[in-house]
Amino acid sequence: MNNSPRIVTHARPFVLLAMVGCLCILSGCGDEDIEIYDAPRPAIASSPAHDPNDGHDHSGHDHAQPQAPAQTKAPGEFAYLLPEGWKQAEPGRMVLHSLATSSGATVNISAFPGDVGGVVMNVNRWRGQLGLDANSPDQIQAALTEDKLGSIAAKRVDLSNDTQRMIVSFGMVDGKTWFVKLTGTAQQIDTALPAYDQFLKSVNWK
Amino acid sequence: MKKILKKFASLRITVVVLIAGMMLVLAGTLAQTHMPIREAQKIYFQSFVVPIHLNNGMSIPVLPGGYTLGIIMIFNLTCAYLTTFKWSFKRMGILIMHSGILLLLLGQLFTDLYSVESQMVLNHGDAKNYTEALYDFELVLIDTSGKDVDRVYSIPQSKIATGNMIADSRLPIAISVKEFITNANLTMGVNTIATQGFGQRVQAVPAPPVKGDDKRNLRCAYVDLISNGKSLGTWMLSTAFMKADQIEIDGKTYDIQMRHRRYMLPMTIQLQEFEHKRFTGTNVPAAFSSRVRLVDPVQHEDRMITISMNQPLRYAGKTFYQAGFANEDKTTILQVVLNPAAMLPYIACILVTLGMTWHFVAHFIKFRKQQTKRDTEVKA
Repeated sequence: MNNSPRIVTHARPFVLLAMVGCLCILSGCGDEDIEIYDAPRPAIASSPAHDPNDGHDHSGHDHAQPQAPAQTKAPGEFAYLLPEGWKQAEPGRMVLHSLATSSGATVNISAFPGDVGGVVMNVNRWRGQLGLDANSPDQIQAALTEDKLGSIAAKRVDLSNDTQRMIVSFGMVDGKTWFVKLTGTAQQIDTALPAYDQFLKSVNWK
Repeated sequence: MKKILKKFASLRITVVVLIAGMMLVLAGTLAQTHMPIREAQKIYFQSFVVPIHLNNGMSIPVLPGGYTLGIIMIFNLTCAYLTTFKWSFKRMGILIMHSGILLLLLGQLFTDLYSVESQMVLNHGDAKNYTEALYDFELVLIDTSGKDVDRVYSIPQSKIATGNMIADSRLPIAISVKEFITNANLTMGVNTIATQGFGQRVQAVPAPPVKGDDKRNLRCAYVDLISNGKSLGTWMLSTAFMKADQIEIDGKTYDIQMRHRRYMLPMTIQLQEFEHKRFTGTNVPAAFSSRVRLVDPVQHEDRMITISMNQPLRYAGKTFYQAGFANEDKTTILQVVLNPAAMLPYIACILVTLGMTWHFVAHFIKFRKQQTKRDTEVKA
């Protein structure tokens, strides 16, 4: 007991220091600064998954296993089977994927959060791109047909002017509206249409 | 000095703080019925005062916040030890017990200040070496010319949201924020002020901010980019855009993007399989788990791990919890928590248990001794 005052005297600076430390920690919270860092790329690439312990050899040697169909998994969670004769093209700034059909038509795939202004506004915008006048909401609703993006319910609109035709299939997936837009001349579209329908059936979000 | 410390050591302060604490917990719990948990935590527990907002726009503090009460409690307890506590072997139990309580309070403070919660959303086959903040965002310029690494210039949300000029010698360009929109609806471009990039044909229409633990605001900003005093145009950037815009600065191409803040990981995680079990005949989830591949080139790790509801993955100081799923069970959502103070509550509980045991045993021994003495006296 005689030592107790000494303990108190010795402990006091440490305790006070700890309390000042707490205040410093609290006062230090606030302004974030610009950060500059080197971000390594993922050690493995996104791909159809495999298990390193599944008994298969994943050393990279080709064992001439049968190849899967041309399943394409690209950034943006979107996967599809590329129809025969179709080719991937460099996507523009506005689209996620761009495909060229064997007939010379173009398929552009894009996605945006929400309904992106709604069906009426979008259809009238596409009509504007073909030089067509805007339609009323009733006319637009009447022009829409049921469609499917893989297993997802979607709508389809088919527009054309004297030289160009445009088919857009669009549906909502996880809060985003996905647009698949087929454009070209009437003849190119006619030729590409069976493959386009087949392409839409293969679409999935892996 | 001792007099002042003695005043702060008053038991009255302890009682008042404890009562205020109980009121705060009650108010904070009730508040969660009409506001998201995260917001209630921020207002009631991660604050110095709890205000009430009047109709005329004024705010009046009605309760001390969690930080105020915690600091007073720590100060009160410490002062009590410095001034009134009698240091002895017998009282060691109380000392250990209170040290545990002190550690518990400090642990909560450190958790609030330093813990980081983020998410990793993986689609089947996806491999990622980063997690993303739930609410915070950043504007990034990325130099992708490196062979194995990208040089990232990350500008935090606080600098973008204030709408000021961001000019920093470390950045390759200066950024003037013309307009920042907390939450927006996107429509295809009409009347947009953007002159460059993806945002030229997209218009951001301001919308009321959304509040909710599972809701995210769609952030947008119109920015002027300036290189060597020359304007590179007005760009509209948004957390909604799935791809980065590209910009050429001094002959070098950079990606520019507004995105949810990223936290880099030393390893890559790839989703191999997601399993969602339901109770038979219902759609009620019974269990869900993610089979992932973890690759850490530095530690020479390449192994399969199953993360399920009660079996989180602990790696590189972070804990990965199975939090949810989406996209018809093809997407897994992992909640990632970095908490340097995670062990403190456990240590605190052990200390409190140890202290209580010590204290009760000491009292029991004293009681037994007194009883024996009394018995001896009675017999005599």
